[in-house]
Amino acid sequence: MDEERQIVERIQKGDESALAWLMDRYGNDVLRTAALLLKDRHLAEDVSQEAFLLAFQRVNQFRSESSIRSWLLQISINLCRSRMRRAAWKRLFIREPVGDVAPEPSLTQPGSTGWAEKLTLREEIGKLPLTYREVIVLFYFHDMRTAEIAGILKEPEGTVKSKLLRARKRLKRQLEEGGWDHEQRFLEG
Amino acid sequence: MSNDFWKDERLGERLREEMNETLFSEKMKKAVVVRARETSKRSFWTRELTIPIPVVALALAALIAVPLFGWRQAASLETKPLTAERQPEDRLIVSGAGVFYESQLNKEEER
Repeated sequence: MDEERQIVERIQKGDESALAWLMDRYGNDVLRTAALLLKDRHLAEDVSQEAFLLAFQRVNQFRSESSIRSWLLQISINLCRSRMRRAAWKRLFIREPVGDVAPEPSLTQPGSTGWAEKLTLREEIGKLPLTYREVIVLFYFHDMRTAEIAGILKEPEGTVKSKLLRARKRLKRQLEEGGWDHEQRFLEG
Repeated sequence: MSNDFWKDERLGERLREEMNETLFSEKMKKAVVVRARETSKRSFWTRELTIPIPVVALALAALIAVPLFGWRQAASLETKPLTAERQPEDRLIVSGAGVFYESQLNKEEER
């Protein structure tokens, strides 16, 4: 915690090496969170870079009650939400032309190597609504407790718990429908 | 689906494994440092300002109060009767040139 405080003080003074330290330590966490929430690698790269830049510019807004990691995740989740909103507005006004090209038929049969490689937990999480994705990512990927998630999402803990319950149910149903059980056995066997 | 899978560690582990190859590269770090350097060198006019809430509240109050005060002043002027300007004993004199108050004609005479 003392180390973090020193880093915050150095960033407040405009020390670039402190920013580099922050990226070395939390860069992967921030990028992976954005990638899981946005389902797009390039957008996630943009958002994660923007998150560190914002943290550098607004370091005075950091409150020491939370950890730097939580604060950075909070910034990146807010940025992801705003990107998703922007994308939704874009979709509303700019309708992309629907091509005549039919989707490629699946060449991979359930149980085959290709099929197992294709079916990823990440993709299944990506099918959930953003609000569920957030709690699932924070709970499972970051191994956070519900109280901590509530702090990051600025929501009551009860809300987080119920969201997590519903998200888990939905994910489980999705995985079962997608033959995840079969794939699990395939991987284990 | 086995219940083990739903144990927090297993699902988390699997997800972390899948995300292992997603890395915040050196190139990305350098780009952030360059942009941070640029923003810290910004001129006064492009700098971000933080306005304290009491100042914003005061400015808003003034913005609302000034037109309201002006409107009340204007309303009070409108309601003043024109006859208040003349003396109560003033008489009306009708002549070929028009209708005048007596005091008005007296003033003209004095000139």
